[in-house]
Amino acid sequence: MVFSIGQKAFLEEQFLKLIPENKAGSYFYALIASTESYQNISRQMAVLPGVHKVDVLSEAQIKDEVKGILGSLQINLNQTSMDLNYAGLKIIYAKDLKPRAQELVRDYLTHLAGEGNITLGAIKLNDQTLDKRNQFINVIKSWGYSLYLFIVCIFWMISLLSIRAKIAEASYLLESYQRKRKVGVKMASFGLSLIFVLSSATTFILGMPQLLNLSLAFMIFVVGIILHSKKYQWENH
Amino acid sequence: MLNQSGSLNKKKNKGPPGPIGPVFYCEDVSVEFNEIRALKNIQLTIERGEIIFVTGASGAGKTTLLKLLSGLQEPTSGKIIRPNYYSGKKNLYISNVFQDLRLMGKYTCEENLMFAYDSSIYKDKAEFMQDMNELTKILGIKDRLHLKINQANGGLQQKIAIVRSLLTRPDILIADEPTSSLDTENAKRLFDVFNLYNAKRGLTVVWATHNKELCKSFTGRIIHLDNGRLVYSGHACFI
Repeated sequence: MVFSIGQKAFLEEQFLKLIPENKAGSYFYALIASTESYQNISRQMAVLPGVHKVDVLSEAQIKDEVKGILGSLQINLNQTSMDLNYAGLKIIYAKDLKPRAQELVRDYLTHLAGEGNITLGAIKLNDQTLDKRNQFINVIKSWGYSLYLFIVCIFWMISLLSIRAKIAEASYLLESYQRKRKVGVKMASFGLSLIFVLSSATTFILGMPQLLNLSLAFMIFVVGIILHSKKYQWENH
Repeated sequence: MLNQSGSLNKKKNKGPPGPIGPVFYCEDVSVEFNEIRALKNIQLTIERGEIIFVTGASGAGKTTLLKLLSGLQEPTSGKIIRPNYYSGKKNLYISNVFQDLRLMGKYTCEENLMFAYDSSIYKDKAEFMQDMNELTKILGIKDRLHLKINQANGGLQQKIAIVRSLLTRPDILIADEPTSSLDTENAKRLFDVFNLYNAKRGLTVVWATHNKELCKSFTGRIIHLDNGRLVYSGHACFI
């Protein structure tokens, strides 16, 4: 808990490392005027260096794309004239692929499908995926840490309460049958102080912790010790 | 068989070093629970080295009186002076045997007794073990110390609770019906142990009991309570 509170920046950094990096780069659409060979083309494109992924578009997706293009050209076509025999592919480049390499991929695709059988769309930036990742990172930064801290504190409280029962039991017996006083608070002080010192040391080893947060952790430990200061009664056993 | 008379109260010079005189002094003490008066205007003095039986019917206020003497209960009104072990001057240690025994069920009898090992009163563990062996032998439970409390019968549990209290080497032992699960013979044997500690160490014993057989053979002081009132405090032979 001390570590979690004291090393917020370190933990965030470690967690963000775990989020898979966006390997997809920009993309373009291709319409192939024959549905017979598109699967073979798709396979060959997928293994091509510089290509991250090849998606085969469904008929509905193709129609939407075509409508969008035609709409932008202010051309109106009726439904029947759109029932063409073509297949659509979405070629996603690997991230940071150079423009020259991107052109080579497009040329290779044209070569595979045949120049007269293919229409290539413009290369578009993959902003959406990038946005999603950034959004996720922002969510993590804004309340992910708080949630993590909340869970850690809950576990801490549960373990503290389970230990409290044992300490209280031992404390009662030692105070009742030995000439000792305030056994519970002494045991708690020793144990919790030891844990605090060790965990603080670990936190410092990993870098300078946030001292304000560390003081908060210290306060939680003090509360833990105060919880044991109450004299235990056997009736609570 | 030892003399069952609480004899040390008359032989103060032979008693162990320490404060001599009253260990408990109650003046007009009353205890109320939810407007029910459990003890009414108790006037009582207990001298060091006495062995006292507290008798009375159930609900007469015996347990409340013992809790009051132990410091586990404060009076609602009146004044009580108790020895305070930690005050430094009246360094008397009180040990209790409770009616509910307060043993750890998941531990063995021996482990429960080990809770009484206090390095500040025993030279070493061997001395403690010697005391433990002696007491458990007298009470005939030495061969049953390996049993878990949950597996032990009521009599054994009661003996363990008493031995644990005696192992604390108390100056005052307050026992709430410690022989309720014991037959007369065992109860007498236990009383012999108390007498032995009274003679050896000047142990003051305040013992609440229902055991009529034991009371009959007792020649010390008996305190009789009735409905929260102390109706008799005097020599057993006059009751």
